Amino acid sequence: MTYALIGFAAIFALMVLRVPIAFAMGIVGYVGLGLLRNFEVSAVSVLETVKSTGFSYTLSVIPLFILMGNLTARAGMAAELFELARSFLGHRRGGIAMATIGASAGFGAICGSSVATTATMAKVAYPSMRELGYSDQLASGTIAAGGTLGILIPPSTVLVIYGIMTETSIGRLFAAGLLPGIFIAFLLCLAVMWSSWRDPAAAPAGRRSSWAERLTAARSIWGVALLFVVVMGGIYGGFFTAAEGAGFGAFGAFLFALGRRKLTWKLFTEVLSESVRTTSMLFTILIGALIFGNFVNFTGMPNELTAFVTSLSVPPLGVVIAICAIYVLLGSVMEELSMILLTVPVFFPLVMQLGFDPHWFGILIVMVVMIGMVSPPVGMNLFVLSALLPHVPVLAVFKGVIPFAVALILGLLMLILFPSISLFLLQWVR
Amino acid sequence: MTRPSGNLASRLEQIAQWIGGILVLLSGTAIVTLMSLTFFDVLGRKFYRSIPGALEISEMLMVLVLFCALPLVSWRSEHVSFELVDSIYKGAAARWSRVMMDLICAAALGLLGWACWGYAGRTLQDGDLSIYLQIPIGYLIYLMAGMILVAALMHLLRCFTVDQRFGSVASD
Repeated sequence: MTYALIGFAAIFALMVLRVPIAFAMGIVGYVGLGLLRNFEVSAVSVLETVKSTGFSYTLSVIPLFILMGNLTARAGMAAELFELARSFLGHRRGGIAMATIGASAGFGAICGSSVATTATMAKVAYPSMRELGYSDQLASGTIAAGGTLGILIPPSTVLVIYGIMTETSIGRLFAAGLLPGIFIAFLLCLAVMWSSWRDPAAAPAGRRSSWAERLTAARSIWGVALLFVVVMGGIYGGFFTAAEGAGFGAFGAFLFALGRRKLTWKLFTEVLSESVRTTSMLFTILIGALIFGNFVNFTGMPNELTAFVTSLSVPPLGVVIAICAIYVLLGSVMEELSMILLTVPVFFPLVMQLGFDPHWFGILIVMVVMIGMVSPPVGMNLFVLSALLPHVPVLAVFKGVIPFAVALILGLLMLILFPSISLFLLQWVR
Repeated sequence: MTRPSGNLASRLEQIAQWIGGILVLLSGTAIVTLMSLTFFDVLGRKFYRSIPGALEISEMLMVLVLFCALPLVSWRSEHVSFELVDSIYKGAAARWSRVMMDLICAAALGLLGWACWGYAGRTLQDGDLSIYLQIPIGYLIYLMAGMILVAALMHLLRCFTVDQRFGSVASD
């Protein structure tokens, strides 16, 4: 256990020297295993990790879902979702903000990244909210929080990576994310209602749409619906694997973008460059985490920690709550995905030993990532939003997101206490 | 370290841009091929037969996507790091901590690339072939090693062009 803790400390020291986390994990993992066993064995293990991660067919799900998300983001599908949600909710106080949450949820069903969802919704929903006279605070908080639904509602890059790290079925994880996604979207709408009740001037009501307008709006989202039904339905129904579904989805999104004439050559190369860079960046972290994970496992820390925690005779649920609390705190200062990759090798065996469901824990992990993404000072979604809306003061974004962060934390507690929200749908998935 | 002239820095920048362009082309083509291959393979399997060796080709395309994009990520410094600490380095400390970071990354990638190169040679000698298409795996590991080394080079180049970057950031 001591060696592993020294390892964690070394990673932290390297990070303070600004070394990227992937490199910090890789270096510490290699040197650590080298010192504990010998450097030859350690080098072979590093090379094997790099090679097997590179040559991995199952992992092709990651670039393909990233590509699908980036293509759908440019294909104008988010705008139609937003129109539909607005036609139903716009006449209420805070209605456009709720519509933004709804559209983010819908967009999350074809996009697996919360950064892409946030960036897309910022372009689509922010102008409408400003036009109606919404406060910057509420508008930006809504978009930042709604964007997190991108990784809870399947497909989800975080669930894919969790599934790969823990050898849990990605299709089943996706099924486990669906109801919590709807539930959290609902909680976020409650947060909007609370904010607009506190400050009615910040969230004026819009015009009521006629049923004819609503029907037109509903018809226009067939593309999104089709993509979701084919990709997710295919994965749930066992027609194809997650990787095949991702390939199908990316190709479908590509055809849509082409069909809508949204795809210029320049935009296409931009999408490709962005997708391969994101992929490569994620895999660098993944490889670093795997190398470090090898070292941590060799030190025997996961077993010792499990033995230690069991000896404390704390109720198992208390342990899970403690883990989530650690994550929420850590997530406010660390990049979330690397935090998960760094700690899952230690926490996952413990949680399994306590007899919990791996799918349920996966959803909790996504929730803490979501909370981390909207908690200052290091919340990814907040940065994305500040970059996209430069005239909105950063402090307004920070303030605006608070009610939503509270809603997410409450949601996390509910998901911990009621595992069936996550596990209910699993009985129908192969 | 002698400070290179601005002229040299911009030359280096140009070289990096040029390499970057080629790499975007390579990895972009690979990801589009991966997407199309997966799509047509599934379609084919449902209605006729799957594309022979599709799985192996996918794996090789993955190597292309991942490793050809690595130097791009390195050059643009898009690796995830602990951003909170950036604000504690100011002035010269900021510049030198950046150079330090790039040197550490270059050294780590350089060592890895070098080890990988040897590994590629051994794999080729062992005659490891892909099961279906009988393609020697060693060549792909050479590609991996080469790209890791290019990424290391990108980090080194950043050390020389770092002054320029800081100038442009400050004037933004």
